[in-house]
Amino acid sequence: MAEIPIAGVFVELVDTLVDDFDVTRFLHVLTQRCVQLLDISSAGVLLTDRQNTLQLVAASSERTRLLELFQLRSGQGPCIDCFRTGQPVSVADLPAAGRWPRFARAAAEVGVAAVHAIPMRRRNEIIGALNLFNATPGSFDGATRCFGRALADAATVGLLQHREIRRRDSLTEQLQAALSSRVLIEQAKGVIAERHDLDMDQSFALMRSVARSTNRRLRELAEAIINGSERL
Amino acid sequence: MQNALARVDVERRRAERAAVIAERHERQLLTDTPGLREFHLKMATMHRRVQRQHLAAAAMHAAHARRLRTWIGTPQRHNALPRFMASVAGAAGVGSAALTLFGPGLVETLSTASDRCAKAAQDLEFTLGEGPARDAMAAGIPVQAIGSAIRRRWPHYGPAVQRLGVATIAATPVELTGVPLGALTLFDQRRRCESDCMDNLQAVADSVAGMLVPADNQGNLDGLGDLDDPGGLPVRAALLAEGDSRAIVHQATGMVSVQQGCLIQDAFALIQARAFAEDRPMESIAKDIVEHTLRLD
Repeated sequence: MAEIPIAGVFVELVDTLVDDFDVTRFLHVLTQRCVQLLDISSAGVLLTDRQNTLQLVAASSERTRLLELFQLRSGQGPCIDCFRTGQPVSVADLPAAGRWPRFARAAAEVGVAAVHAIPMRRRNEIIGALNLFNATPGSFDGATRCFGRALADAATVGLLQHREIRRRDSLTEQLQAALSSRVLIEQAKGVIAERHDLDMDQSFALMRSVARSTNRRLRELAEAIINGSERL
Repeated sequence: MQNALARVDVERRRAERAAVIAERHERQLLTDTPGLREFHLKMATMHRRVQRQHLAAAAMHAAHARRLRTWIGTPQRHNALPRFMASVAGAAGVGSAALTLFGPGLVETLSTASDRCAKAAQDLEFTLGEGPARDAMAAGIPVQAIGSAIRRRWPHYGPAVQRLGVATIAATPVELTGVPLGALTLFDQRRRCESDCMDNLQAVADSVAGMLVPADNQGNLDGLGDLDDPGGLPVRAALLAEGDSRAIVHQATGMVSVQQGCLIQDAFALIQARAFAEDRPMESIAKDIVEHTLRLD
């Protein structure tokens, strides 16, 4: 394994603060890098969505992707166990191991005989599992496990960073909207108060009841009052 | 107060974590291959910025906790709860600070100040439609003026704010993940030198920006409903609750738009013009309009 390509890969995985970041593409690249750098046949990854449910799937080949999907749907398999326990799950010989019978059969069909599942976690947060597969039985060597873990960690850092940015973006937008709504509502209060000779509390009460009866949010009603489309 | 003290610890630990990561990148900057140098520099810079931000936050929470302790220990509590903005000013090393949030069209949506001086300065800017917060927000870069530069830069706002005794002004945009929310303005009665002001300003502004949205996975903001109940709140709510949404001015604007049959923006301009002509704050004119003791005819 050449040094420079590996170092570049780590940078690639952590540098997620880019405008056009796409999770699915990122995961796909991750699995491709695993196959390029490690002594394995294929790789797959399962990732959680915003509700913390395992949802996203990516893999280095279509057959592997179907295998991962199978695990997701059946809720059974080494990668699922890895995600649930937060610990690596390593099986050198799937058929012989006698665990997860349905998964083992599906794996045999796509030519997978050994699996090493690595949790994608940072402190107490587990966001998914990175799964390494081999076509021939045999345990994964130390270098594979070690580098596999490092790649999983780098990808986890990158993904969590991106999630935090997205969360803040969304909250910032909400804050902006809430603050600007307040301005609109106060302006509309003034309009209604003047038009109907009411005080501000009465005006607000009138607005609330109209909003309720016309099934609109206060902000929408306020905007309509101000731009004249609502002749309350 | 317990809240504030707990936050001091949280912020200090975060600062330490960021420092550790930054140090690692700084070491690797020297030993690693040239191809990775840019990456390590980027990461180190980012983490140092985060470290300074958390240190500034820790300082603010500590100062606020001290103020709260003093306030609680005072037998007659004449004053309102100590303002968090006062701690922000302290952390920035100046006498007064003002946070102004803007909506579309540079409309002020929230203003909060550390003391009467900062509030008066903010009101001046609001009335005159000219000043450091607006400039920083509109340009997206820090703004600064010391001594006579103040009235040169702002022909109307300048002399007025100098009459309040202000000799140094520095303002910087407050943004979160690149989205501009408003500006943090610092005021001092003394003439300060350039580097003095700008040094800490960025870290303090970043820190305040971070305080405006919930830190943990607390899901969505439920409008601003959770903010109307003061006392012992997390800082975010305190900051926003201390703020003035200038409700009365917006109400008066609505009234004037009906009275004069004009658009909201024009109604606002009419109130502004009257405030300017009578040398009174907008709030005062607005109050008269809402109480029907004044009509802008």
